[in-house]
Amino acid sequence: MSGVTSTANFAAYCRNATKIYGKGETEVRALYDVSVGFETGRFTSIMGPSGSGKSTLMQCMAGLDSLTSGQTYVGSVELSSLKDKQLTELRRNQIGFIFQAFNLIPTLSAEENITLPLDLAGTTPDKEFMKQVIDTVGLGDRLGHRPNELSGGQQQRVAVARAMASRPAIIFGDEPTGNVDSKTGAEILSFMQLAVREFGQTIVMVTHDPVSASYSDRVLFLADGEIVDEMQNPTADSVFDKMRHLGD
Amino acid sequence: MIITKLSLRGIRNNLGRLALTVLAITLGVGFVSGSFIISDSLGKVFDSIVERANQNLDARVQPITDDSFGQTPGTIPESLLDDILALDEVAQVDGFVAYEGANGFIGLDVDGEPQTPGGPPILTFSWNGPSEEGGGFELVDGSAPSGENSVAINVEQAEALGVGVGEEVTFQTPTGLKVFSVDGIVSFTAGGAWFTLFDLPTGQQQFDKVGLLDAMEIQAAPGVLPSAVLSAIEPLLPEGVEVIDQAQASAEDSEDFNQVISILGNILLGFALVALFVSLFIIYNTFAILVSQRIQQIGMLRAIGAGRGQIRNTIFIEAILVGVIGSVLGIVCGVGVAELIKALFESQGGFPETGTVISLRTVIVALIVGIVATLVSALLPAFKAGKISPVEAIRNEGVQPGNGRVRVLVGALITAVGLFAVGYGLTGAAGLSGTLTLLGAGAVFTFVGVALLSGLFAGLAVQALGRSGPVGLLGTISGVLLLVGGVALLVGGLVALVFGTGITGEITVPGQDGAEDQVFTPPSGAGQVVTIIFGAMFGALGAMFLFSGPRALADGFRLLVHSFRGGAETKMARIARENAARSPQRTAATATALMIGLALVTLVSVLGQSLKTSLTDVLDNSIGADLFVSTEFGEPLPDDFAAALLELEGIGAVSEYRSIPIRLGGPDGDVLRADSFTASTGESVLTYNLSEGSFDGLSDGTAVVVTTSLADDRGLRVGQTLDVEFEDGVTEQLAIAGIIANENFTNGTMLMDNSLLLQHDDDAPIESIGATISAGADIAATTDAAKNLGSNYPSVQVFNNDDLQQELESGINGLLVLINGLLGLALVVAFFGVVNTIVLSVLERTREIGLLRAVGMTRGQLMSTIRWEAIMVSLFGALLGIALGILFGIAGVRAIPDTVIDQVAIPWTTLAVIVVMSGLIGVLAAYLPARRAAKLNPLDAIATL
Ligand SMILES: Nc1ncnc2c1ncn2[C@@H]1O[C@H](COP(=O)(O)OP(=O)(O)O)[C@@H](O)[C@H]1O
Ligand SMILES: [Mg+2]
Repeated sequence: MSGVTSTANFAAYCRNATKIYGKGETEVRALYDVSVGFETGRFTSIMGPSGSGKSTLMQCMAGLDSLTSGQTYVGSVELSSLKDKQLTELRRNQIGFIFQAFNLIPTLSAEENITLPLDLAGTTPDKEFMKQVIDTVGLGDRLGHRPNELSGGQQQRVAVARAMASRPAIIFGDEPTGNVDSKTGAEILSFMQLAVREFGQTIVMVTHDPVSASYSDRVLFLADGEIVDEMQNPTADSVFDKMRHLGD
Repeated sequence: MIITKLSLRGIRNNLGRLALTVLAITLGVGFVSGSFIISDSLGKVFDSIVERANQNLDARVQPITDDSFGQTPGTIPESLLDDILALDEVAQVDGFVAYEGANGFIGLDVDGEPQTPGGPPILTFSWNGPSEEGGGFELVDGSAPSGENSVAINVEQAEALGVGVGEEVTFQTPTGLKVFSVDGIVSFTAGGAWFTLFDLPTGQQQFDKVGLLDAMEIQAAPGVLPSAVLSAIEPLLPEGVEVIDQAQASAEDSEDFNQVISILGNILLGFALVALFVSLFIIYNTFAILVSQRIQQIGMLRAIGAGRGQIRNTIFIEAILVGVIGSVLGIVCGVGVAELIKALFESQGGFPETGTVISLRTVIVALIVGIVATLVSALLPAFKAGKISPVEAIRNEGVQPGNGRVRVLVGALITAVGLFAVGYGLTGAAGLSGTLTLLGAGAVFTFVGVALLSGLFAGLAVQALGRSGPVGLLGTISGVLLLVGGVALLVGGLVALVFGTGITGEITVPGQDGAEDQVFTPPSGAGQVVTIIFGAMFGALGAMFLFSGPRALADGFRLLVHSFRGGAETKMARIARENAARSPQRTAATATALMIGLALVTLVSVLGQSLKTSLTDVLDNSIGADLFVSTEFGEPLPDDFAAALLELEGIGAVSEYRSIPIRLGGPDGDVLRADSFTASTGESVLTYNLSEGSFDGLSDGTAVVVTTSLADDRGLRVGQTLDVEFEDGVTEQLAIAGIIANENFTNGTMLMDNSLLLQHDDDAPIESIGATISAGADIAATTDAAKNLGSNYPSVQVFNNDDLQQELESGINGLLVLINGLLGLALVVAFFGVVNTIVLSVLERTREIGLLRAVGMTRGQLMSTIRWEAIMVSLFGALLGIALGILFGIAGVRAIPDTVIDQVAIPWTTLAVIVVMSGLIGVLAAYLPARRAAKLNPLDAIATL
């Protein structure tokens, strides 16, 4: 159990998480007996070869998908016992999610996209906090523009701000920089780092890129559905090194 | 709040995609509101007639309606008029008589041709006003009719007859032709009805009501309440006469009209519901496609905390808005639809002139119908959207959440229920209205069930249909038709444009068969605008046909040649086939919309064809007569005609036919119809096929023969006697001499000799006459002689067997045109459904199209694939429709009594036309989407996500 001793300071954690897709011949074991926790206010990267189960882990922990066996918690709430309605409320209030693409509703302006989760919940946004977040996104006068009038980096920054809007316990990002060039990637990652430092946001993200991983506080390595290693305070070089070793 | 915003923005962004859906709703709702508008407008016309006619009346004296034989007019003695006038409470009394015959007095124009207003009647009665201003008529020329040769007619009739004040007109009257002098011309807007008016004594004499009145209209003395007038008159009335006030008079006068109007309204509404039903499938399709296109967006919304209900609501709100827009436009469109329906009826007989009445009820019902229909259609897609799981959407597996097995199960169940309802209906166990309800509901269920099921085999069917040969042939034929039609439309459109803008002078169309040339003068004002608009529309359509036609032709021909040579199918056809088979559910829903319209067209054609064949059989087998005599407008035949006919050389037997109401079982019995014929010769003219007994005793007036239906119904047997009460109140005891097996020629329940009937009702009209030509006589010469004899009488028509067959067939054909015209709107809706699906599929495949273009597919080839796809979908719909239509047709034939239709006949030509039509629909439906796809820049298209 990679370091899960006390669960008190985890924003989210899972125990013996196993996810199996399909049956019989076509059975795929996407996750196998994974136990891991994400501490509040930290920025964690998940790395691993394609098909190693990274997305599955994130989706199960974010309440988008269910485990075959094991438990996942957000705060102290166990997800498998929740009905669709409660899961929806949990996602709305406690979890933020950033996708690789298609994060924004094309018909809503940047600002409307940011406040979308709050609007869906029907709660009035904490004005001061929203102003702070929006200021940090740094879109300036482009806030009222539609997503297709924004650059890829701006779009993903809006997506991060959107994920933060409801002040969730944890934000998951599945390759949020996977679709952009390295310069734009750096812009997005700095913004995520800022969210962790300035607002104490907990963020977990999947990435393939050692440089991206170096923005985070901790890296988990996944292979064949199991956590095979982890690293604190990574740099691009140390991550790169570790990946080469894992290949052995 | 946010959900509404999302919906609104969604609509704004998808305006183009929703346009055709809105159109589908607009057309469906338009038909519904059009039906209401027609009923209301007609109602208004008749109400205003009634209101105007009764405006100066405080009370009316009339015979009490005998609820069995109908009101028996002419039973008020004229002497009552003076008694009532003598009352202090009464200021004025006007007596009134009306002609009871169905068509009124028909005038002959200068060429001796009878003139009628078409559908509406010629109301013939006495001028019931105080000299100058009677019954709401306005005298526009001349004076009120006065004297036994004087008549007043309405403006339209005067125009048709070509006469003015002071000139003479010949009228057909029950006692022969009579010349009257037109002394007055009146105007009265009454939905196209004409008026022929006499003064009271002339009316009484002409209508055979001397000394009698049909009604009296009474005006109260100044300051006297109508109720006081009523109670003053009451004691004076003889038995069987009543007095009523103005409100009741108006209500009674409107009642009959309103009944007819509501029947017409309901029939139209039935067709409107068919169109609406078809639009349900199109709305469903659109929302299903919108949901599948937005699957990622929906997944994302779910991931960030949108609940199922919220997702569903975005779809519902969109549906409501689309429904509101479509319905509002539909109400506007209803005005046009009402005009179209009027024009359709006008072309098949006639229709009263009406204004346009849009009542609040029309607006409310149309809105509700439109919105509910849209919501119902969006129900399934909305629930599907709610079920989309966030992960699935994120993984972008592109598959729609499938509930294949459930769908098939439900589809099979609904189809089974539908077919069971049809089957049970056919047993007739539920009575007539029950049977009709069962058949209707069964059809609806079957349509829905097949729609659900057809997704199962749409893929396979399209794959099979797509095999070059048939589709190529269809494409080729469609291409040729479009080419020809396009040229015609373009030329027509240009002529209309040139004509409308007034560039040319008059246009002369040479008359056919010696008829006069028709001269058209250029229109002005609104007519000009309409002509220009139609010209432009025809021109545009022609251009569209000419754009699609040659391509479809070339394409189809290539495919045909290809398949003849036994080559593997072309790439284009293959891609099209795969595309159509790719989303079988969508193809199925599109095809189903078309299927419903075409199934009903097929059903109607099967019934029509079966009816024609059955009638031909009757003509061939049970009609001995060689000649038939009837009148053009159904007015009674002249009394002397049969005798005149019999005097002609070569005529064998002659029989006259009449029909009257009688009461079976004496004074308390049921009122039924009885027919009469010339018993001595009748059997050789029309064969009644007695299953039992004989015609013995009919000629003496002591016996009747009864129909098998009546015999079965009442347990009657040959030899029993019946108590038959006639209209004159006399009850006769008549023996049952025989039982009629062939009921084709009976209106009523029994048949007697003319002499017996005339004994009790000496002016019962002759409805028709049949005659045989003696063996060995010159058939052609005798027929000519009989026809010549007929032409001496203005509206008498003499037919031989061929004429009769043609007449019957043209009657049936007219009805088919009317019904198919009304179904046409459902087909238009279905057509837009095909366009809609193809447009949306092309949008969905933008990226793929870019790829195909990038790897070298030409614009022409791309358009081919889209066209083939549309043709395959339409063909699938047409074949499904024909199959179901034949099935329902057979069911219908079995449900209709054998006396009307006793065999199933399949109208192969019509079916071929339907198939060709599906090709045309396909080619035309692909026109816009194909052009649009061809215009896409490959690189931009690939960049589309
Ligand atoms: N819906 C699914 N059905 C079947 N197998 C799946 C499904 N989703 C993912 N998998 C399989 O599970 C494994 C892990 O997938 P995933 O979590 O997407 O890996 P990663 O994100 O690390 O590339 C892979 O082998 C993948 O093929
Ligand atoms: Mg992944």
